[in-house]
Amino acid sequence: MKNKILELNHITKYIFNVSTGKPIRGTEIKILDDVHFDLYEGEVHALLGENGAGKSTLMKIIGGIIPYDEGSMTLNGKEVQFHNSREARARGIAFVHQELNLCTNIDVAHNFYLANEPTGKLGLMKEKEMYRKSAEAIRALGFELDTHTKLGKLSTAQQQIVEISKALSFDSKIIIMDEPTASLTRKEIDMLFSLIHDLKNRGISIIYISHRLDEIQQIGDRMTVMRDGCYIGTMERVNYSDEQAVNMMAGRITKNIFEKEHVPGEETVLEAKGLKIGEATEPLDFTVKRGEVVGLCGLVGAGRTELARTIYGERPDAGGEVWYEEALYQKRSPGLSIKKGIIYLSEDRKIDGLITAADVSENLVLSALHKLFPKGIIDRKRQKQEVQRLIEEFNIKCMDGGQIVSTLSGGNQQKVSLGKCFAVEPKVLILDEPTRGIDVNTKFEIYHLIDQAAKNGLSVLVISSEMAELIGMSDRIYIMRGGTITGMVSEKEEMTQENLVAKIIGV
Amino acid sequence: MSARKSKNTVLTVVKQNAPIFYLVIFVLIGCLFIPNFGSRANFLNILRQSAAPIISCIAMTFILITGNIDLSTGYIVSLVSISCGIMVKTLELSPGLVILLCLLIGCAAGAVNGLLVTVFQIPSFIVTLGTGMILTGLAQLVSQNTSYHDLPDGFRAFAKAEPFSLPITIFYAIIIAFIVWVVLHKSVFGRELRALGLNAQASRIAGINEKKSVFITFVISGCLTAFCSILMTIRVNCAQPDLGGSNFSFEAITAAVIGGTSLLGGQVNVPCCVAGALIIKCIESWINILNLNYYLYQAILGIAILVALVADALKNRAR
Repeated sequence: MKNKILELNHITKYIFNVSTGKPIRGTEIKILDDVHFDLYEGEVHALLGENGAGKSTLMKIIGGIIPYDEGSMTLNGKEVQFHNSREARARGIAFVHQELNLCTNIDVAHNFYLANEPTGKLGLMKEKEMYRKSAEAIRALGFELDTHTKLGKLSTAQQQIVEISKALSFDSKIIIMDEPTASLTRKEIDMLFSLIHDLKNRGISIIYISHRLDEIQQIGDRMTVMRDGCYIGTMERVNYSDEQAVNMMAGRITKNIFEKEHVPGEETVLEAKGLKIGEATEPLDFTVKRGEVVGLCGLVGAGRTELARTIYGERPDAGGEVWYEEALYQKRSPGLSIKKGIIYLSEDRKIDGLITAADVSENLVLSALHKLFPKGIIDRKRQKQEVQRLIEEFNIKCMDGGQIVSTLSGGNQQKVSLGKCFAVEPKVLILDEPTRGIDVNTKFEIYHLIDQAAKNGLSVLVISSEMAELIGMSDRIYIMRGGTITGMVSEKEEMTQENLVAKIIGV
Repeated sequence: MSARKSKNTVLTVVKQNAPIFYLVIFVLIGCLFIPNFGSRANFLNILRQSAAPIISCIAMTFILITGNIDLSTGYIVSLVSISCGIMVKTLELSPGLVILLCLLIGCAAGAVNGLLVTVFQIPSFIVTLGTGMILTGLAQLVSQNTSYHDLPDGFRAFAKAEPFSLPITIFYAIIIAFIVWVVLHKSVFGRELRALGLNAQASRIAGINEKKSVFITFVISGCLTAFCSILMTIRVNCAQPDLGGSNFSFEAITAAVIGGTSLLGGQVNVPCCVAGALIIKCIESWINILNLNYYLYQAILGIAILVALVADALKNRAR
């Protein structure tokens, strides 16, 4: 009989000040309402729910980042209320975040040992030991990274690997993983799962938040569903079904596979000729037609984001040409691209996709300022009109345009980011991992929006690591490897996960 | 901090415009407890002394809103002051031309700052420290060890006129404050500057031209500082290479921070900055009337800026 090591009862949390964790005065709005959650030794307990269901908030309470306002939390039989994450970590709870919390300007080893550096007699850091041990910890997960590399130079997936191995290094008994596979490839996911099995055998429990139902079925022993801050129910693995889970999450049944409706046009809108994204890469060519959705897939580090940003003008090319609407597009810059009708959705909304300290209105109109206010003066009425329109169109769940973006859930933040892109009425939309960290329902909302826009003539270049998503949305898919395009798939029959994965790894 | 940016309650309005209310309190305390403070002559005096600090503070807000800083403004004042003297007395140019050329000198100095910060990506703190030193050296060289007293009346009229028995300089300050208020709070350019201050990377990707915008802010600041220098030169009736100096930029920054400006960038409230400058001048007036040591004033100024910085830090803890 397994022990119950963690139990939360009647947990309630009011909306709070993100820096102090204390409830905001003047409101009774609850983020968590009478929530129940428990965890046994050596089990993987999955947590499911829509945007804003309260999953991340509940986990932050367990991880000690914010306190709970009402109810009780019992760890190993003792009642606890953590004041910071260090306390939780000391009691054996480690947290691997959805939105990565690492310092991009220092190297892997220093991040690994952040605030926890091994010191010698004089109080100096034992650097050799740091580099060696952090490299070992990462190797133990099945990955190889040079721990001298500055973290900012690694891709999101590689940074996540550092974060996971760091969490594992604390002899934790409970590990919370919030969307851990969002940026991992199939192979990396398999490695992670076999690692999770190892941990289970060692008696370590894992709370696994994910929207990927197939993964949850694979790895979860029990599945708990939350909705709108409330606890809906828990299923054992034997009783689990996708339909029931989605039903509990949304209150309605949804199809799992997206099928596009749009049909691409004939004329070529965007074209790259002999484009080199870096000094040491091969030149590449690709085309995007009017009203077409073109997918771009590849392993982490293949250069997809770099290609997108080079076309957009955010970074310089190392040779070659970009053609837009039959004309050569030189001296590219983000401002000029937007004027022409090309816009880019950033991979990392927290860093450069959104201004998290500003409110929804400011973020939504940020790229469209010159278009909305050609006279140079901001017209509040016009702004409110436009913001209202976008909030409705993208179904952004916020109090109103004045809500600060950092207080929105991850999925709603992403919708704001997407809304910002559509505000400029683009002709070409470049999306970099548009549904990263977003639940099933919102994903489908976004697929539908893009599909409709494509029907109206919008051309889309979409980068994604989720094969099913790419296959469902795209008319054609390009494969990237080593900084260049190595293949293209345009026939429906050829667009299968196995085929794409094979091409990605170069088989 | 609230989840929303602004609610239309009286409390929020007061909190967001606190410096203006503090100013009112300072004035009231002065009127009640300090002899002669509330007299018409004293108020006129304060207004006369406030014009240049207000304009220099507002000039600084353009720089602070993008998260930069300008430590060279005091030395722009020096260079413009002595140039002004030479142009008026030696070259005997017309007042209009002198003013125009002085503003151009200010723009040029700002342009150099702007170029170094945007094109060469050197932090503004270091750039303006360096250019400041170059400017003061240049000012001394140009002066050839002379100052110019007794400036011609035609020229002095620009800042000495008194319409409605009020110093004309305060009207200049109000007009400039109003224009800057419109630009920073109501225009697209102001919105872009604010975005750059909050998150430069995200703003760049959103299509804002960071280099161009930041460059323009330095030029504007240089120009407004030159204007300040003209007013100050006329007031002391002496064009000299020592006018302004190191305290000048520091006082401008102090006034801006007391006015609720965040040194991290992204947050500026022009009316509150005006209030901030006036608060400093009020305190100076108290010190003068009570005949206290001038160094006490400096200490109080130091305390004031620390209090304002702590308040700023507490407000910004979420960022």
